[in-house]
Amino acid sequence: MFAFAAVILFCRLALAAEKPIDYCQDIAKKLLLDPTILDSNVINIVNNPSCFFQVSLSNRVANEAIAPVRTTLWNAFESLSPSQQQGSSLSSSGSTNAVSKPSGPTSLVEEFGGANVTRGTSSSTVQWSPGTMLTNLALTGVDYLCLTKNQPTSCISARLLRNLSPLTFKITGNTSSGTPSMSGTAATPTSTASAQQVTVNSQGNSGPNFAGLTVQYSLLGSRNRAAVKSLTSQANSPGQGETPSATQSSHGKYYGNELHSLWKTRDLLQNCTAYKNWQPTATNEFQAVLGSAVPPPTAGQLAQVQGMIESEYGKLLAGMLSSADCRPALEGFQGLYAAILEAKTYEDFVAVQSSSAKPELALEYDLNTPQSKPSYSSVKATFNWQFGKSTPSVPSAPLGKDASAKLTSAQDEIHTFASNAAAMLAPANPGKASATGKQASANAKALAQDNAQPWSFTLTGTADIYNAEPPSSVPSGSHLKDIQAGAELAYVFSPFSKNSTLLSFLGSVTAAAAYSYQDQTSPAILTGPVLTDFTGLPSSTTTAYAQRGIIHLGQLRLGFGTGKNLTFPLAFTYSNRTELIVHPTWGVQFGISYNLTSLFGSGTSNSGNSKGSD
Amino acid sequence: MAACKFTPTLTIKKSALPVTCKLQNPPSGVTIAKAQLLDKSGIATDLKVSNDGQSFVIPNSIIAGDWTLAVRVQGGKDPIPSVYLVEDCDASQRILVITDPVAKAAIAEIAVVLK
Repeated sequence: MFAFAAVILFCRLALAAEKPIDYCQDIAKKLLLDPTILDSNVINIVNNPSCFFQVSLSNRVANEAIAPVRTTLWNAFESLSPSQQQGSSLSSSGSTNAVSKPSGPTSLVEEFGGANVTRGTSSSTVQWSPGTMLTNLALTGVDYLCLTKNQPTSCISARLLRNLSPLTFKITGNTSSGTPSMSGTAATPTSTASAQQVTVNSQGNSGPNFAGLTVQYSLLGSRNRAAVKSLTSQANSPGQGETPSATQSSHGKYYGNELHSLWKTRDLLQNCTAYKNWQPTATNEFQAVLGSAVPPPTAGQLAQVQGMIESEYGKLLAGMLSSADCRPALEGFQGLYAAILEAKTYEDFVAVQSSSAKPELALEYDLNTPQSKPSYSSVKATFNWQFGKSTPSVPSAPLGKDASAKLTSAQDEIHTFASNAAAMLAPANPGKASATGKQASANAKALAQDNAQPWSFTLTGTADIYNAEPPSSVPSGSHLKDIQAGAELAYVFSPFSKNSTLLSFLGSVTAAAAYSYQDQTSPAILTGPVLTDFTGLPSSTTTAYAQRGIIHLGQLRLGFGTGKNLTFPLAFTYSNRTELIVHPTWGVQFGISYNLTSLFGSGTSNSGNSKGSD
Repeated sequence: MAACKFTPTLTIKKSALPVTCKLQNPPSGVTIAKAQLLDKSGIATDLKVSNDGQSFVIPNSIIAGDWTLAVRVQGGKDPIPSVYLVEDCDASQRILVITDPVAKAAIAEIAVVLK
C-alpha cells in the first residue's frame, strides 16, 4: 500500500515539475507567425489580457487561477456524484455496496465487519483509474496535454487520455487478522464420500489473502471520457450537439458581459498616460526585432520575442502602477478578467453538468480467489444514470453588481466563483498572497453542491464462472456458479446548512437502497483446511458443498463525507440466506474510503500557494 | 464575389451596408459565439450570426459614427491558434484577429461614414 502511495507521490511530483501553460509564449509564437498582429493584439493589451496578467503577477499564480476552472468544477461534481462508489464492492455478502458502480476515483478503501461479526469482512481495496488520474493532471494545467504539434515531448497524449479514462483497476485483499473459521456439520455424517454436502452455521473472518482483481471499462457515456473529450477536442465548447445559434443564445449574456468589459477597459486605457506613452516606444522596439523574423520561428526567436513581450508588459505595468490616472484602467482589467472567467466558468459548468447526466454503461471482469473456495471469474455489466437537475439558465438581465438580486442561486454562484478567481489576480497588488487553488476549489464545491445531479440509478447483471470444472461428485456442479442482478437507487443530500461547520467537516450524505438477486446454479464449494471445522466430516472428504438456492439481499446505506476526500459508508444488509448459510442473516458494515485522486489534482505548487484537493 | 467595402482603416460607407464578416480558414470546431457593435456609451447592438456560426452581418440599420466591433468565439482545441475575422469580399479585408486563448475575444474600432 505504501509502495502504491509512493508511486502516486512520485508521479505527481514528476509531472508537477512541468511548467504551466505560458500565455506569453503563446502570443509570442502567434506574433512571430504573423507580425501584423503587433498593433491590434500585442500593443493593444485588451486583446491580449492573459499574457498581461501573467506578467503583471510576475509568477504563475495567474495560470492556476485561470486554468483550473474546469478542474475544480469537474472534481467537485465527481465527488458529489451519487454514482461514486463509497466503499468496496467485494461481494454482496459483506460489503457496504450490494451493487457496484461504473465509475470512481482512484481510491483506497477499508471495509470492516460491524455488528454481526460472524459475517463481517475486513478487506482493503485499492482502486486505480489511470485515466482519471491523468485527466486530473491534464485538467490542472492544460500544458500537460499534447495539444499542439510543437508541444514538448513530456506531455500526455489526448488520445491516450480518452482511451484510458474509462478504465479502472481494483485489487481487493482480505486484511483481517482473525482466524479463518467456519462452523457446521456434515449433512450425512456417516458418509465417507470425497464430496459431501454440509450445513454451515456460521462463517468467521478469513485470514489475509489475495481476494480479487477487477478490470472495469466503461463502454458508453463514460463521464471521465466525456470530460476528457470536452477538454481535448472541443475545449470550452459546451454547445457540442447544439446548433451554433442555440449555443449563442444559451451563453449570450456571459459573452456579452465579456465583450462589454473589453470595450470598457479599452475606454479606460484611453485616459492612462503611461499606456499612451508606452505604445509607440514598444511598437518601435518590437518592429526592430520582428523585421528579421521569418516563419517558422526558431526557438531562439521565440524566446527573444517572449522575453521582449514580458519585459515590455513589465515596463507598462510599472508605469501604470505609478500613474494615478491609470488606476481605473488597472481596476478595469480586473473586472475584465472576472467577466472572462465568468463566461469560461459557465461554459465549463454546462460541459461538466451535462456530461454528468449522460447514462453510463460499463463492463467489468473480476478474478476472485477467495480463501477455502475455488477461484472464479465474474463478468459484469453495469448501467448507471444520474438525474434530478437541469442546467441553470443564464441570467435574463445584464450581469453586474446592480443585477445580482436578479440572479438565481446557481447564477449567483457562477458569478461569485468568477469574481473570486479574478480578485485573486489583483494586478494592482501583485505581491498579495493568495490561496488560489483552495479558494477556487471551495467555490467550485459550492457550485457543485447545488447543481450536481442528486439521484443515481444503477442496474447490474453478473455471471460468476468457476475457473475450473467442479468435481463431478458435486450435485448440479457446473462452470456457471451463479447469475446475479441488482439495482440501487441513491440520493445525495445535505442535512446541514450551506455554511455550517458540520457540512465542511462531514460533507453531504448519500442515502441508498439496493436489492440484489442471486440464483446459485451451482452449489457453493469449500475446500482446504476449513473442512476440519465441520462436525462429522471424515478426513477423506476433499470437497464440501452447501445447499444451493436463491439469495435475495437488501441493503440500506448511508455514505457520510460525500464530496470529501474521506468518506464513511455505513450499510445495513439483510438477506434470506448467503451462499453457504441457508437461514436469514443480517449485518452492519462500515468502511473508510480515501480519494487518492485528490493527490493528483494539485498540479503545480508555487511557494506560498497551494491548490486545494477535491 | 464583390469588392471589399471596408477600407484598410476599417471605415465603411453607410450606403455600403449591410456587410458580411466571416471567419477566415477557422480552426476546426471554432464558431462565432457573439458579435456586437458598441457605441461610445457602451450600448451594445447584437449582430446576427449565421446558423453555422461562421459569419455575421453588420446591417444597414447601423447609424453613421464610431463603433467598437467586439467578437467572441468558442470551441476549438486549447490553446486556440489565431482566429482571423475578415470581410466576405474579393480581398478578404481583415477586420480583427483573436489571439487570447482564455478570452477568445477581441475588439476593433470601425467607422461608419455617410460619404
